[in-house]
Amino acid sequence: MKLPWRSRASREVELHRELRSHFEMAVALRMERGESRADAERNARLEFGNVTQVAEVTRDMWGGRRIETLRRDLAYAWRGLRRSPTFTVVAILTFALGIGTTTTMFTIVNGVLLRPLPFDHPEQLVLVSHLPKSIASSASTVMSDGTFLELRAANSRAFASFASFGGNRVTLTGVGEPAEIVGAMASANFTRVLGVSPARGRGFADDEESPASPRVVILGDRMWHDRFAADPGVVGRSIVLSGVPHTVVGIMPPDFDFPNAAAFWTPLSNTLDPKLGSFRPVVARLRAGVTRETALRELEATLAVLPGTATEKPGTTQTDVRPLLDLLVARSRDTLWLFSGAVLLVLLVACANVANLFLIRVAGREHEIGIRFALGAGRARIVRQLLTESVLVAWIGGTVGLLVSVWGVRGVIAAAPLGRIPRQGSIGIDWRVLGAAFGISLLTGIACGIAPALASTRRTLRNILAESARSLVGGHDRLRRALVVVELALAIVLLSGAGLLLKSFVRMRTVDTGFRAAGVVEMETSLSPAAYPTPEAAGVFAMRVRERLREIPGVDDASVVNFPPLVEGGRFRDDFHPEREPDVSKGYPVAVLMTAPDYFRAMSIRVLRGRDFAASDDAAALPVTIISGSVARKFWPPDGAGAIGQRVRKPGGKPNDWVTIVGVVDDVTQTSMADEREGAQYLPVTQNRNPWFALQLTFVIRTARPAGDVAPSMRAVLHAIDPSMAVRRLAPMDDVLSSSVAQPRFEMELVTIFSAIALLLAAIGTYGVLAHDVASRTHEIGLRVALGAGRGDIVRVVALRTLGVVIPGIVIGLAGAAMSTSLLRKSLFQVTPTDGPTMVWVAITLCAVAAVAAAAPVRRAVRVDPLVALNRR
Amino acid sequence: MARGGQSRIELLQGTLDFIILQTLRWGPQHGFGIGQMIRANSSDALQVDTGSLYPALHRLERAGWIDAKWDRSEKGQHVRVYRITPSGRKRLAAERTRWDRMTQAIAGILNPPRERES
Repeated sequence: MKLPWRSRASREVELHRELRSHFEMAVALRMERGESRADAERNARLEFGNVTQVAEVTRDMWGGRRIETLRRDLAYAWRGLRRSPTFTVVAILTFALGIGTTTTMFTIVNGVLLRPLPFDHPEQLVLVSHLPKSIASSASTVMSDGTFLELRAANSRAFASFASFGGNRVTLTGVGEPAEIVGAMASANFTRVLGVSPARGRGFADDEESPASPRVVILGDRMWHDRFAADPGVVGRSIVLSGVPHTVVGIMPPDFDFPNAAAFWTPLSNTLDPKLGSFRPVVARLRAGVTRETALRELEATLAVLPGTATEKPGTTQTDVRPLLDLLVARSRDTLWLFSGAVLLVLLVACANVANLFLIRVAGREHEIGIRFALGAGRARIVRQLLTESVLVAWIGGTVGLLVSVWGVRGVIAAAPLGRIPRQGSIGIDWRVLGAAFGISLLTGIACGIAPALASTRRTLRNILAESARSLVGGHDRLRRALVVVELALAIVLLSGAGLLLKSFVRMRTVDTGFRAAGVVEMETSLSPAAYPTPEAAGVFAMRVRERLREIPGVDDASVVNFPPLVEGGRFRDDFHPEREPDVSKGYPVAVLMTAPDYFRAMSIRVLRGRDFAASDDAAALPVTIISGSVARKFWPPDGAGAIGQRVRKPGGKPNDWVTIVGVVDDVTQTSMADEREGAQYLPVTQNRNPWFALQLTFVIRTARPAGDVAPSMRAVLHAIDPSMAVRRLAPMDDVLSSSVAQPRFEMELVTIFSAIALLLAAIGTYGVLAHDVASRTHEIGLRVALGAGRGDIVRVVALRTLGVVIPGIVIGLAGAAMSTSLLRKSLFQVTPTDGPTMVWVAITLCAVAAVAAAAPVRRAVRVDPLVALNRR
Repeated sequence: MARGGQSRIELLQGTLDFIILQTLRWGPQHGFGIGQMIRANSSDALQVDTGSLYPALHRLERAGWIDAKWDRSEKGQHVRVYRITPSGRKRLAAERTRWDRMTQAIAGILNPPRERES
């Protein structure tokens, strides 16, 4: 019977007995043929061959051998590593650095992009959008309320249901200090479409969407804990949101805070009016098995027949069906992939570095390996042994790296601009992160160990024993130099990326925005439609606050605007349409802004022609407008001088609503520092007829005093006029400017850190190969000195060796950079991905670092004493 | 070493397994005996190294084509005796067919029929 689980020891004993009996029978046979016992034994032994090797190769046939071998290999590797602590510590730290940065980034990518949303069948949830091209951008995924209502009521084979939602900012009073809380408004079926149910209480009833229905609210778990001490009795109680009592009907489970960390949800009741042109995101659930492409085709067909959208001109709108996750991650996806690519390069550099360390180590152990060969170990056996060692080191490094990544993730999140790393609640270590960390460790361990293991075992026993002592430290030179070239090349690629992002960041900081932020302080407020029901009331309020702000000592100018430059939030664009231009089909969208007198002075925007708005431009006066330079030049070429006095259609107004151009001002950067300065049209707040156009107001002042000195007075002015008014934001405009470049700064900083790590590792690698070079060529250098070579000659020898790795590194690296930096295009501003000066600086930086790395080996080389060096042989 | 003047034939991997199974068809045998029989039956043309023989025996044992037990030889020595199993016989038959086909094919190549030459 075969007993596969017999103990290994007893099988070992049996194998030796079996081989022994074979040997004895061979001796007996020879003696029968007349050989003497001594001859017979000697000949039989010769014929038998190496007993250890026969036993070894036979053992290899046994099943279940692997675990036993692995245990022994691990023990052996561990002993070996403990004998050379410096090597071990450096290798582990390098791995920890490489795997730590990789795991950090993977943890974030996993949490943000890979983990499914915590909803029922999240893959069926899509974001449905339909909007005029004139206001669409790649990031806008919204739909008008009217279209949403019609779609929800229509029959569909592709979509099971639609829900609409939007942000909602309220002031909670009556529970501790009054506080501004950010929540969401959602259609009544919102929780049903997402497939989540409240942990307590109930969701919204359909009729709660009606404006006539009593006000209700669902609380998020966090708000329930923070504000109501997790009291279950709060369900059914009334709380006051922005002065209106709402009944709490439910509490959501802890992990639900969609969208954008919402703290509460109210029904989308008061504003769900088809006649009001509000655009909101719409989430839809696809029926099982329906693809997004099918759904999009059906959506387009449906929109073509719905009453509200059928009249739209073909080609003027943009319809899309996207994964719901896009709503949360669209802005961060590119950045995260950029970082992921960067950390992979760092990991590769770390790998090349450790592979180099292993090559040095293996070169020093060739004698030991030779002896193991002589004792009958097979090549596969020795390769496996060496791989065990590298994988063990990688795993220890990986474990340290995993711990490091916990801090790394916190650091990256802390450094990220607000909102640029969404879904932070789902970022954490899960089985996927653990699997990735250990998988990367295993792979890198094998990758770093395989080349040294194969290279060292390729040399046969004879080679190793025949070679002199000098060659024992000099092996695999070419492979080691190649690895350093790879490291330098990868460092160049990363440095180029960092250099380009840095240059782009500097360009962005110094771009001419058309306004001057220094000295400007902004105060943002929002007007409740209940308190300011008409545009006239809002206009009167705005002008009163402006008057009082001007009276603050030290304030030079004061004005107001609805959408200040570079502040995220509302935007309004409309086609510019001069009266004399009969052809309106083309469309020329411009930003439409509402301001008051002195806005251009406060912001230092140049008035090119005509005049500013004046207090006399009131409701009774001639309706006026001011346009920006590019618009004027476009319609009244060549210099826009003809614009003054012309009439154009009032943005958002009826066809025969005309306004007269009284001034032309400079274009300004409106949306983002990365965008061109855009054309704009300004309207005075005193002539505003649009009820929602003035609900969000930002007062701007210019002052020579520090912002901190005038801010309290500004707040006091606002509260003196309306004590219930909350200040949303009160800050110097410089803050806005720096937060508008926070994203490029974040990208630039992180890629710079990664490239610094790569550069450091590459420098260590360069140092290693040169130091080794000098050490192994001490004899040769000694000989040269003895033959009359001067210090300069010796320096030249080492310098040539350095250039031998640096120049190929730079050439390959720049080629790699030229191929890969185009991936950065989206992140670059006024810098091409192959920017020449940047590449030159990168090459110079690398040369400088290589020179530093070469300094110590050079010093050692010139100190070689020929007598000592030559006597060592 | 009594190898005579004959050149030694290196065995292909797999061929040795086949020869061992064929040898064991005549009855149970220990490792040394198997080596001797192969040598004798091939008129000393085939010599099997212990370094190939024992791995092959242990490999065949693991595959279940042969099994082994400890026994005493005619001279009273403890020896490990191998015996072919039923699945080993099946394997041998399959190998045999394959082998016959291959030798025919090789013979065909080495001695091509005359009519094809013209």
